[in-house]
Formats: sequence, C-alpha cells, structure tokens
Amino acid sequence: MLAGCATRFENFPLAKDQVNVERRAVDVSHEERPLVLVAVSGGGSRAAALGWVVLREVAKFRYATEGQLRSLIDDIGVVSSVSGGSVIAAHFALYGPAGLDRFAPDFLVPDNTRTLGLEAVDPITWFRLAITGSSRIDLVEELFDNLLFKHKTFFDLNQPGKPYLILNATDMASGEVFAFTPKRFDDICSDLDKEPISAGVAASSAVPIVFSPVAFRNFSATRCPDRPTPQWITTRLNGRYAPYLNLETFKLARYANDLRHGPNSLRTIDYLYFLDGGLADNLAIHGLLETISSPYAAPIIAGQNSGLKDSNTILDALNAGRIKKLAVIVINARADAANTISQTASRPGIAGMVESVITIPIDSTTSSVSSQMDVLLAELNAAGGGGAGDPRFTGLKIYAVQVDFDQLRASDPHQRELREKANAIPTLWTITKDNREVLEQAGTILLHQHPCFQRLLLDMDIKADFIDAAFAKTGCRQASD
Amino acid sequence: MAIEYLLVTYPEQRAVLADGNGVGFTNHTLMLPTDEYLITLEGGGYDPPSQDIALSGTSLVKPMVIPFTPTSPAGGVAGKKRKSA
Repeated sequence: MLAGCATRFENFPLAKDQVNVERRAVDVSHEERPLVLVAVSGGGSRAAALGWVVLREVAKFRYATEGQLRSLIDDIGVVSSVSGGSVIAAHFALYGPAGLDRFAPDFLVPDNTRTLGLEAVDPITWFRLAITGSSRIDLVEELFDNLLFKHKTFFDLNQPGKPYLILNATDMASGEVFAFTPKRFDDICSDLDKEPISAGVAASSAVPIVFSPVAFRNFSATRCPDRPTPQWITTRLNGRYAPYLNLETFKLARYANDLRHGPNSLRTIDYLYFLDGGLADNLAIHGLLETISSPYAAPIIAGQNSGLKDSNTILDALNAGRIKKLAVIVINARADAANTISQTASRPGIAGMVESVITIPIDSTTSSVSSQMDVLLAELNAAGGGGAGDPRFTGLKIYAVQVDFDQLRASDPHQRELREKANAIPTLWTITKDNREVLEQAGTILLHQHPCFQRLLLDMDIKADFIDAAFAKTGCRQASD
Repeated sequence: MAIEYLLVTYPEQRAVLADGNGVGFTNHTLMLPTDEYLITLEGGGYDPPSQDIALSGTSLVKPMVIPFTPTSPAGGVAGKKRKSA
C-alpha cells in the first residue's frame, strides 16, 4: 500500500545563478602541525561506537605548539564516512570534540532499534508515511534528527573552523559514490545549506532491502540550464589520453557531466535514489582520495606568503611543502562473524547465498579502494625522501593508521577474546552496554598498538607509556628518515 | 590514484596551473595524479600559451620536464638566469 504512494523528495533547488558556498577550509597554515584525515566505515551502531572510541582517544593526546598545548583531534581536517560511521562523523563535525561526551548518552545508550520498531508498528505512523509519501528510511532520519541533529542543516556544518565532512551515499542507478558536499550539490543544482543533516546521514546509511532508498531530484535541467561545463570535465571527456591514463577520473568527469545534463551525456539523470554508501566503498576511503586531489577536493587555508590560494588542494599544499606530517586514520568496524559453512557437509541454503552475494562484492570493492589509498600513501611517503627538481615536499612524513579488529593479536588471550566478541557484534542501530565496553577496549588497544600512531606521537614529542620507539620506527618507516 | 612527478620550468617563479587550477610552482618538482592536463602558467607573457600533456611514466628521479619561456624581454624576464632541472 505504502509503496504505491507518491515519492517524497528530500532536496531543494538552488536559486537562479546561485552556487553552493564553501565556508570551510583545511588549515595547513602551521607547518609544525600534522594534518589528520579520518575515514569511518559502515557497521550500524558498532561503527558509530568504534568511531566515537577512536576520536575520543585521539583527543587525549596533546603537543606543545606556540606556547600552548594543542590536542591532536584539533588537527583533524577531513572526516569521510559511510553508513553507521556517518552518525558519529556528522556528530563530530557539527559539535566538535566537546560534543563527544554527549554522543554515548544521546545515541549509543538508547535502544534505537526498539524505538524504530515501535514507530514502525504504530498505525498513526503508517498513516503519516502513506499521506506524505515517506518510507521506513524516513523513520531512521527522524531518529537521527530527534536524538542528535535537532533539525540542524548542512548550513550549520558548513561553517569556518569545522572539519570538512564527506557523507557518502551510493547512487543506486549508476553505482557511483555521491558525497554530500557543496560542489557535488552544484552538479545537481541543489541547495545543500537547506538540507537537514539527518537526511544526509540517512542517505549514507539506507541499507538496501531493509530500507527504501532516499529520493532526490536533479534540478540541473529545470533550474540550471545552459551552465558552462567546467574545464576539468571538458579536458577529461575530450582528452585524447584521459580515458587511458586515469579511467577513474574520466568516469568521475562523465558522472559529473551526466548530473549537470552536459553535452554528450551517458545517462539522463532526473532523479537520484541513494542507498548505503558502504555499497560502493564501506571504508569511506573514496572520499579521502577525492579530497586530497580532485575537482571535489577540500579547499585549504595556507596562510600569508605561502603562495597558495583557497582554491588549492591538500596535494597542492604538499607540493608547496606546507604539510610536513600527514596522518590518515581509517576506522574499520567490519565484523567478520564466525559461520559454520566451512564445517558443514551440506550445501548452504538461499539465506547463506544471499548474504554472500551482498557481502563479498562489498568487501571486494572496499578492498580495491583501500589498496588505492595504500598505494597513494606509499608514494607520498617515498616522495618525502626527495627527488630530482628541488621538490618542496622533501621531508614529508606519512602516518597510515588503520584500526581493524583483524589487528587484535591472536597470540594474546585478552586480544583474542576481544576480537571474537567484536566480530560477534551485530549490525543494528542498537548496541548493548557489554558490546560498547568491548569496543572501548578494542578501539583503544588498536590505536595504541598501531606503529604509525606510535610514530606520530613520537615525532610530535608526545609522551605515552605504550610507545615502543623501535617498533614504531620499524613498523612505520619513513623515506625521509 | 597513482602519483606522477612534473617539473615545469620558467626563468622566474610562477604558479603552475593544471586545467586552470594552481597545483604548484615552476622550477620545483610537483606531484599530480596520472592523467591528461592542460598546463599553463599564472600571468601572461610566456610561450607556448599552453601545453597538453599526458602525465605518466615518471619517477621521483625522472620527472616530466615541461619548459616555458618568456615571449619577449618586455613580457617576461628572459635575461635572468634559468634554474636547471
């Protein structure tokens, strides 16, 4: 009955000749400060909780600069997220480090699954969903709004001094990543400032089949006709070599051109239906890759005499020698729950096959994107060792920190137990007190024992009793050493 | 995203533009993703006006070198010593 009703579209058109304003910038004006980029994976409340644990832990480490103590969490310039990770990512971007103490009582402690269940069986809710063209994902959006975001919009997120948040959803028709950023909203001629934060988080976490997709209109044809095509798109689409040298960026340009209803488009896109961002990249690394260097990169503040402009990117700042320490923290809440398929002598049934059909391609795609980031960071690390042509990036240090339950040591009984418990935490919008405690212990251990986190603290002259200098220098070797 | 290395030379320091966006400065090797770019310099008075490059197959020790020269003494600083790669 509900499916037959009109679809509720969640976005708003730009006014005539208006573009989305970017008010944030990644601050690279102080060479002595590290730049920290964070990605938070999907995984329901398990991911939100693990992200919260790691951010809260990062906040505890301070270093002396300009006569003051500064927390490492204040050096987080970009946060990219999908699905459950988007809940904590948006909360952190909106309320900052000071809001971390509120996240547990506001979101992790309440039984959100019960709230959603009660709403879903309430006849008044049914009636409301039917007459407004809403669906079950709208109940999740309401939950986020009521508990966390309090009717705030992306205007509240997009303010100077706040980290550059990239909430990632998956465009159901094309399979492309759709990030809730001003430049991407320009592509669909839609006003991001008016968009509720809860709508972005819901779009990023609309698990297929369980929830219906979040629906948007593309206003390009009706509200922004005859826009000039940006040069980067023209160069990629008309370039002789572009599709061969960098197919990913060629496809990015083609998708942007399609969204803008540009010339020679591949698809005509009038409506967009968003599913969980984890379908295209469950680690949210794609957002970080784009923000380092792409037409969708985050703008920077480099300070006077740097020669850089606000339109420059993080890669440009690396080229100019404005960033000496780049840390990338990827928080992976993937749970590898034990199953008995390999110990069972009978063929798996339909349920087991459906699960495999869903999870194996997601894991494979995510692994591919993750490898791209690994390669990039290895290349940047090597660049720090210097090269021909007087590069200004000589001396650059790279800290690739991945927090992953698989890194809990099987040889340590306590860590082995934690790993088994963490892997058994289900993907729901509720997490028990016991499971929160498992994630608090696991997240803290994983961060502390990562050689590149230890190396970052060592290089920042931050003291901590868990640092093993030899382990950190060996496990996180720098070409610039 | 694979990284390549590009060295754009010019007798003075200018911002290097790739597809119209500043990506670094002349006479210092810079990093860019493997791709095709239209390279120009900030300001005028240089030659050629632009260079379409296919940036690939480079390394830290062997960046792609793209030279620009001033169009005339009035339009640039042709008399100044040029940095070597």
